[in-house]
Amino acid sequence: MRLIKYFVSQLINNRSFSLLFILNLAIGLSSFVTLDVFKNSISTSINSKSKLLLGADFGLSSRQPLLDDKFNTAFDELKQPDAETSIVETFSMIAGPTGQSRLVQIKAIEEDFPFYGDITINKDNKNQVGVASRLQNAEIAWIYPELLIQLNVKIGEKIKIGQTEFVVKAIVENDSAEGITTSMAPRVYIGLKNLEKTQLIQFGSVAWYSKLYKIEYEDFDQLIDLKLDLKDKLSEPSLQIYTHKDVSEQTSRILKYLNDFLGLVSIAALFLSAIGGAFLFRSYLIKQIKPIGIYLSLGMTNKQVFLLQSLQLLMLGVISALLSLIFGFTLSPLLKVITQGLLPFELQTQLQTGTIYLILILGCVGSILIGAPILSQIYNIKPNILLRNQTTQFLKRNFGFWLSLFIGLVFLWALSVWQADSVNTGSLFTGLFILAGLLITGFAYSVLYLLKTFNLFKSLSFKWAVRDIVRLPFSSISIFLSIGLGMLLLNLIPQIKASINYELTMPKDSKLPSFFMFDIQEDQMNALKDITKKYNIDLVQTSPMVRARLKKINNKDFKDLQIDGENLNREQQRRQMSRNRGYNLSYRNGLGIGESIHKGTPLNEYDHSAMTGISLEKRFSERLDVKIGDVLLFDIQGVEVEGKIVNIRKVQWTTFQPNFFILFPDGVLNEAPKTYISSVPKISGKIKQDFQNSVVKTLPNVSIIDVTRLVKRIKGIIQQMSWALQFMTIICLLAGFLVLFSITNYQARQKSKDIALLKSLGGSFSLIRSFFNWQVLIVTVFSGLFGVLVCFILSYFLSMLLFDSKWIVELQTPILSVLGLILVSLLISYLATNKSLNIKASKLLND
Amino acid sequence: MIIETKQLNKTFVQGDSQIQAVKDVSMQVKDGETISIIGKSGSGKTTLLSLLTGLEQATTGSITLNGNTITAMSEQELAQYRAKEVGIVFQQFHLIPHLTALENVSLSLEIAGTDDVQEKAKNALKLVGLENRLDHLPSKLSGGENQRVAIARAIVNEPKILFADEPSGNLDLETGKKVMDLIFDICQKQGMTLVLVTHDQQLAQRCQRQVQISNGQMI
Repeated sequence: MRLIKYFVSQLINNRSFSLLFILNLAIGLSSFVTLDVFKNSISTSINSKSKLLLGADFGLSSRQPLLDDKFNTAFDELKQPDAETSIVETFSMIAGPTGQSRLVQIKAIEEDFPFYGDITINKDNKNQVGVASRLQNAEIAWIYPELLIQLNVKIGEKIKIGQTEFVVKAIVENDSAEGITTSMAPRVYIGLKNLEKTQLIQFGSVAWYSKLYKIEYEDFDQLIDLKLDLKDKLSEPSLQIYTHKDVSEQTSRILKYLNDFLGLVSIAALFLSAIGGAFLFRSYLIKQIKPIGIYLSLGMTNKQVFLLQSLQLLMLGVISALLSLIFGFTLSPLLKVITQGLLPFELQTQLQTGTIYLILILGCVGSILIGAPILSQIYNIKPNILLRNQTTQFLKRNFGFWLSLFIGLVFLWALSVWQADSVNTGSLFTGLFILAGLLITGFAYSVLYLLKTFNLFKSLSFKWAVRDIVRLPFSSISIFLSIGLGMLLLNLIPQIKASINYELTMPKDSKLPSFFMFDIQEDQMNALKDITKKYNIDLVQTSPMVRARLKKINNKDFKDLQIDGENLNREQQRRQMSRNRGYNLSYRNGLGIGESIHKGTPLNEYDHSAMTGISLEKRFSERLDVKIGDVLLFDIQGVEVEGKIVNIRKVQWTTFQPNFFILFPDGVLNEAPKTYISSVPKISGKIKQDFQNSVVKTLPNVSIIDVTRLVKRIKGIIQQMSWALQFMTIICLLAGFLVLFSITNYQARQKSKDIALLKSLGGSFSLIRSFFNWQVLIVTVFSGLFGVLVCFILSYFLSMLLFDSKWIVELQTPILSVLGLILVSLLISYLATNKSLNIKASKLLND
Repeated sequence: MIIETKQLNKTFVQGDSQIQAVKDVSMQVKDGETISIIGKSGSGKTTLLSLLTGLEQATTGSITLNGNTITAMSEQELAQYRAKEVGIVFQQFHLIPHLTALENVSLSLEIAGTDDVQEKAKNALKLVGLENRLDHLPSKLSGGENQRVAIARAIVNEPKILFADEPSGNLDLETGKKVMDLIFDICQKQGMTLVLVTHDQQLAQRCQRQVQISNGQMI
């Protein structure tokens, strides 16, 4: 242990290395801290509000009315709830006194809702807790404040909900049960007893029936057990059974996806730091070979040297981790910006013990893994190195080098899987990252080859620059790789954003509709056609919609194919979500707007003698884990209908046209009870409002989604998310630039002898500067372009495969980023070279 | 006189104290003469060499090399002057590790902007007996061979003066002798002035004149 002091002093004497290494790793880890603080804040905030969000401990939901007897019996056998209440939620158009209409979320509640939290209403300019029993006695409603303007209504005036007029009694000032969906459509509270009067709920209407329970429990696991037992007893796939925590998780799902992606960007930042750290450590260790030789010659063992060098790394790792905790926690409030409007409450950022442990572990393990490939190279070093001049020749890539590199990659993969909470996404990310790295390395080697082969310029400084780049491939490739990956990450996000935005933008000739309508009853079709005729509008892709339950897949009960359990990963969660629902079927011959056949043959016309062919949407088929030839059995109002999958369809959902997961050919479902959905092509502003008001007046139960408003909202969310991504990318880029600085600075320092030599040989300052500038220019231009090129390749595949969107080239960011990169790099190089140039050449004589 | 110094002084500031490394050195060296500067470690001989080569600026006094007062030159002019008129051989060789022997020698010619770089560099290496080691990296050469590459680099521009700082100091006795033989031989053949810094009395005796230096002063 007494020897440690020599290694500590070694670090102190190499302050610039120690500082750069710490700063490098700290920046990489900061993105992790920021994200972890952000994630924990969301989960803590939501968990602490989970009972308030649901208003209860436990709940059941279904698209069909819930029969009391069935549930009471099930509960009797398991655990008797302390209290229960029913609610029905639906989306509907409502109209104000002047005929102004708007899609809202109707929440019909019983008198004891909510069990937890409260609905604060403003009545007679005073805030008070809303008493839900008052909603039951008369046709009165509490509305969200934005509706006052949107419907041009005042308190005391009437609004039309379905067939009944309700008096606006109060404004909801604060709703503890406000969820994310309320930001898509404002909420209106009415009494459950009055819902029937509205006649909104008709056959096939989109409505959710829920029963909420107050249950005393000592341990949360009791609720989980109850949930699993009820699932067994009720064995109803279309019935959703959930605890209050499930609801909070659902609320934060949109942010979870964002978190996952941010997590991957933060891994990229960490990876970049690792590249820089490895480079710095290599340069440092080369400098330490002679002292190591001295330690060995004095009797220290290789193992001791190895352990003490590792200890140095550990010390640097711990300091980096502590520094990153300060950085990250300071930066994390900036991420709060993105939750504005996405979460119904403001986040309070807090640093948790778990985060501290995580970062300390990452700092320690990370720093060791960064240094391991290089450390393994010195393990077999002999003291005779003291007798040689050249020390780098002792650094051979041995088995230990490749093994530690492999362990590092496995660690990266494990970290990605953990951050993404998905083996597929984590593996895809690691795979793509490695692929991108390989592509950039491949390009870099090609450039080295070309530079070696072709003498592009006669300039002496250029020739020297090329020679240095070619002769020092490890450092050159490291720089190509780190800058290239940084540029890739910087450009990838705006590139994908451009593709998604393109899909959501409505140019003049766009086929995006103005309205999307649902819940149209069969007997309302003629009335609707009359309205459209009046406004000279043609309905587009009017489609029947039949509710069904999936009973069997290939003759196996669907229930048996379900995935149960609490700790499901992302893929299992998605699969479970898609399997737990009732399904909307439709029928038509041929493809609709935005549809194409991915695999299989078109649907044949209905033939009584053969099994019906059906068509499934591509992603839906993946989640259901079915393929062409599989047979699905549906239950439609007690009648069983079987269909064999004959094709898998790709649907461009961003067309906002009536499209379905499951399609039957015309003729099979025609007699089944159904509603219709349809869309209205793009119409001008004035006609749009009049048409909407007219539909609401005549057909009050028909819901109309204003697609323009929806697209605006989605673009807003994408914008907020992209801010977060860009914020993390900036950290990533900062890490990239620090790598660049570390490498350039260290190289310039390493080259200080070369610079002194060139000076002693008569090289002018301008010649030496130009030599370094060329080096930086060649490396940054090519690595920047490689990064952008690989970004184009990856964004193309991501747009096509993952987002199913058209690939759009966005040139502004690549051009600006490459120019910025070159300028910043030249500046860094200038500063670093200047320092070395000012060192007297006589240093060579004094060595 | 090819070298003439007058009242040359060099003072280094270290913290609060001043160290006078060279004190009032006035000397003259004739064209083609070989002289040695001898003295103990820390006597100031290397500092004197740094001043003579223009690698270090004198605090006061003047240095004239081949009629040019280098103490009045700017960094840029000094660099140009060194490139063409002066050759330096270092004790530590100072070769660029990733360049071959031929490239290391070519470097001097390229900086000086000379034509026929390859040819001249090859000839220089031939002169030092390394014609078969042209494409070898310094790591693949022995210490003596590395020093011979450094000598080839120093003389390739046919400078009027060759400065050598303990050129055999890093070599074994036999190799060191061979290297010194080579330096003296080249200087004699090419009529080059040699200024040799050494602490080895025997080696110093091989020069036509010896200049003893102690505490920065000529004695």
